[in-house]
Amino acid sequence: MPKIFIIEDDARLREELATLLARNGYETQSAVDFGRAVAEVVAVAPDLVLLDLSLPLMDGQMICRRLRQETSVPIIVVTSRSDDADELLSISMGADDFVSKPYNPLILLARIAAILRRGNASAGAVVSCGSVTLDISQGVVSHDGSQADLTKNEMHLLYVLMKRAGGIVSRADLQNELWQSDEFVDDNTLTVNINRLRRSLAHIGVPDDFLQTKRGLGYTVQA
Amino acid sequence: MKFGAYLADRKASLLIVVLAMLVGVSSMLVFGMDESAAAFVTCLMVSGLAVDIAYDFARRRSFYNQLQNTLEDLDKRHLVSELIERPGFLDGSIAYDAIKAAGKSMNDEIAGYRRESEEYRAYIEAWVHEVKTPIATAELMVENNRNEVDRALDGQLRRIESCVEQALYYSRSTAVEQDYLIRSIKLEDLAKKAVREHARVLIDNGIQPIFGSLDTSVFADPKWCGFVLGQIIDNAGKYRKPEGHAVLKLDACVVDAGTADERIVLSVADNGIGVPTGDVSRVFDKGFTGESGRRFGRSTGIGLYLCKRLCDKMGLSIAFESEEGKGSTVFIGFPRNAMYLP
Repeated sequence: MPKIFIIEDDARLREELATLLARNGYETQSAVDFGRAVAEVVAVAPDLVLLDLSLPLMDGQMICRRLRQETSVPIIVVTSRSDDADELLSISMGADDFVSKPYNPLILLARIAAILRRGNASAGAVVSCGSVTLDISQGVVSHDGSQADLTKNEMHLLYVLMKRAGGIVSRADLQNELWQSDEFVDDNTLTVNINRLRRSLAHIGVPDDFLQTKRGLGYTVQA
Repeated sequence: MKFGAYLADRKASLLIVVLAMLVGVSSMLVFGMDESAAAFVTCLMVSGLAVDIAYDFARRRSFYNQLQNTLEDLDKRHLVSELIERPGFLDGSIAYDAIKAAGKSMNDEIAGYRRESEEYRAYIEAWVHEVKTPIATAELMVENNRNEVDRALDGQLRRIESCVEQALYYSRSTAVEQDYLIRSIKLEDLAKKAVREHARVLIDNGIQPIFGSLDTSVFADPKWCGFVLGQIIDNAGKYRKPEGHAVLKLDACVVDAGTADERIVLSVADNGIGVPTGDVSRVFDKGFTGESGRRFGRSTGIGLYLCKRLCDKMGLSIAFESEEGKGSTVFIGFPRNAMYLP
């Protein structure tokens, strides 16, 4: 399970971030003493660091630079400043990505997954729910030994649904999810994509109630 | 300063001198002075007077002409006292001192206001960044506890977020100094990023984006442009027709090709309710809501006004066309040549 280290001064935000990440299959740990944040990161050896730039007592940019000197851990800088200058500065200080507040939680998760994938080809590339396994790097879903290739959109939809297995994902959320990867599908196309995905799943013997429609609410995948 | 006008101004004192000279000459003749001696004395007095007039005129002219010309050339006229020299004659130096004092007090006043507005701007900027943390936290809380209420809350949070963003850009648009970064960006990236960031507005209103031929690069600040496009997308959401298939078409074309005005025009067209013809020319006015805005009740009259200000600052043109009941189109013109940028 990939480990993420959070350096964020706002306690509530830190807790919510930890909840979000834990729910999406990451182990989290956060800095208690910002003065010792660098040492803590080195000791914990996480797979990724989420760093807030505006910290009390210590400049986040300082931490970023010192972290870079000490380790090669990927760093995502999270900040409430949104100007280009800040972004440039962060990247030049060795940050791997830059997300400005308030961020769309799903986008943050996507960026984290992307960075982790870059470092380690297999990290986060496989999701499982019961007997159904989705391999993102191959674009293949498997069940009981049989496999099916999925199109990019089908895979994306299944990934989002499986990540939130047990919960309901609204059609708008799914549409938004596809739009975020520049697939600007309309409502009808989404229905078509979902139906195709259902057919692919049925083809490899996944029971019909695995992917259910919740009328007026959205879709859900059984955990 | 004209010589004639100068003489006319001194006519009273000149009249007295001439009268005194006449009286002097006639008394010389009455007291039996030699005629040629009287003529010599008259000549002396007249040339003395002429030299005095010429000298005085020259001094004044050099000071007042300098003052007038400098004033004419300056676009910030209150700075005139910094650019003129103190004259050697009494009334001129009094006037100079007065101008200098007035200019200084004006400059102090302006510096005071500028500092105040800068401080206010810095406060707004800091406030916006501060308020983003609770908004981010609230959004995460919604994400972590998905249920019906939270989903509705999510929409409200996004509205707060967009209002906060607007305040930030409003305060930036009033900045005296330039705080944007112009670089070459692909129109397609710009347009798609804006649509991605405002996906929820479009999805929730069932508006389908259509991308035309956007395969060109333009010079602009990506963040500022993203904000401008965001405002236009928000408007498309606000003024959607209640029925029918809604689209938002983003397309680009080259205008005035081959001339110095050659520019790439990005058009963002919706098929919403549109704006009445009479209101079209005023959509960029501050606080203008128009009939559509009032009828649909969510217009603040700030969005397009702010777009115009930001475009003006970046050296981009912005125009608006609309047909009531058919839709609206916003055109943003990017200069082809980076040379024409501010």
